[in-house]
Amino acid sequence: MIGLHLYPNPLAALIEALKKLPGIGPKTAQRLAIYLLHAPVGEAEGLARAITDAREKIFFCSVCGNLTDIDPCGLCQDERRDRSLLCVVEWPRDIIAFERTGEFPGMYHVLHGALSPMDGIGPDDLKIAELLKRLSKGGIREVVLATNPTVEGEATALYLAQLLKPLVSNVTRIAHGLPVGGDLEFADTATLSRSLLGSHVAVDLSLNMVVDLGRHEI
Amino acid sequence: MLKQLYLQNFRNYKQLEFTPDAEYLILSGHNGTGKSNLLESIYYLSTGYSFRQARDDNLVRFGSGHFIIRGIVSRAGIDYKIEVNYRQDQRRKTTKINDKRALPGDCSNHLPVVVFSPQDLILVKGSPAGRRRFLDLVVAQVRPQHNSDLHYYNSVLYQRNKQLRSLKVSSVDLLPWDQQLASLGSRIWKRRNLVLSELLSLSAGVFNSLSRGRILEGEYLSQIKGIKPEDNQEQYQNLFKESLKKSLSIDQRVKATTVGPHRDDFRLYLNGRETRIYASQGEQRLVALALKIGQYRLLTEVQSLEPILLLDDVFSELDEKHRLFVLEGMKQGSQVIATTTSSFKEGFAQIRRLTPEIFVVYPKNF
Repeated sequence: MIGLHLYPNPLAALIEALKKLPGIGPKTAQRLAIYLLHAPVGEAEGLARAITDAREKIFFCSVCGNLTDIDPCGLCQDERRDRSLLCVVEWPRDIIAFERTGEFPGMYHVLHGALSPMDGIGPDDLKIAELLKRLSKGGIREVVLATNPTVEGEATALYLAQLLKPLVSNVTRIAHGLPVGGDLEFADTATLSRSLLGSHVAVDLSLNMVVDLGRHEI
Repeated sequence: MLKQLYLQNFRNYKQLEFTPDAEYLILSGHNGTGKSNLLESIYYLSTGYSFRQARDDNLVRFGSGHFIIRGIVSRAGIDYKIEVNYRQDQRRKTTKINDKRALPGDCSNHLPVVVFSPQDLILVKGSPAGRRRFLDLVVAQVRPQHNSDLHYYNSVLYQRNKQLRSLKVSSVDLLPWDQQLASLGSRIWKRRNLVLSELLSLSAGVFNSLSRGRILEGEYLSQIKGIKPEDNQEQYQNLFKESLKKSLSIDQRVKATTVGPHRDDFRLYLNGRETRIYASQGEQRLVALALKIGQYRLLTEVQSLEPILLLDDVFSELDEKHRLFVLEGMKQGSQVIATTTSSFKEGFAQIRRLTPEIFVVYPKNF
């Protein structure tokens, strides 16, 4: 059949491997593979080494579940952080998003997912036992539930709220609504109407803006 | 209004470009030439589903595997490009407004449609699902947030039903989903109630003049026992959560959520008797017509939107008097696209060929 031997086997294997990466389609995979073949030998080897290195040296922090190369991770070791404040997120990438703001002084806990019966993910598949263990050691005064504002993230937050309320004095949910500094006329209707439906926002007419009052009791 | 329409592999159309360049157009052609398919595509572009109860797979041109419907619509003087495409292999529907991803049905406010077709009878005679769909469309046309609430409600419902299917399920596992069902559901319920009462009062007026003084009434039927239409959302949420708890054992047995706005309905009464059971075929047709004209009036008079009217072969179903009534009420400023099998020899200003079998007729008096 014509086209069956389009690529020599090793090249086909490389393209197939690249295609599995998120955001990479068949065309990009082919382009990357051919680039790697043309690049200086050192570059391809460097990439291969970087991948195996990262795989060998990066693991999950035994305390918070973040990606790290030391245990406990840099965030958990940092003495300047507020140990009484704990932010619960779905994925390590969410920590990066929070850290970029530079506004959150507390500690983190990564669940590694959200509840989703359709994918067969229940409470036992998330790092909830680890979270309870951390709380049982005491000293935590507020848990901020910072799961995504999706149906699954919301369910996870609600589940954790009922579980944690007897254990922690403050369980809060991050606010979602209009981004501050955005113009109302450019906000999509969903965001705008959610920001009005939620009771934890105030409409500041002088600023022509819906002002987010920050995280709130759940 | 619709300025331009492009179809690819939709029903019998391999490719079609259609420019509705007048306010009132009639598509003329024999049976089976695709006139209704064209109206169906416009309706689908707006609502995300077919008014002929066809499944998405049935809309794909045989052997092609996908369809695209694209349109340029103008709302309040601003042009929007809206597009829906469907891929059969992935069973995936993508909706875009100005090239940005949107939910199916999000365009129902950009291009509000009102369809008159022989299928309208299902509003009176058909299942609750058909009536719910109609009501939800009207609500979404006047309150755009409704569509996304419905979408998220259905996602939560799907997750809850999956949870019910797992081996051992307790109320603790269901609580996070119940909570979300209650808050989204209360908004859906409230909006439906408000819009239905507006719609019914307009439709009752229409029916009154269509039928020489007979009285059309209706009521929203909620699944939640003890709730009254005038109650607030918080009361609804509490009662809904209670009902979910009570029906847990049934839900577990049938592995589905048996209470909630996704099972609601509305009922119509003609002179105090239920229309579905007691009205004659002719009366039922008039009631359906009154609901559609009521929808049209709600959009134009109350909301000052400019809906596009799709008249699918209605002229064959109505007598002269009602035909005039429909057209009289709709002259002001809306776009009308009608289909007919009759051929035109006179009484038109202009005529052009759209496909080898369909003519576009521009009537004189509009």
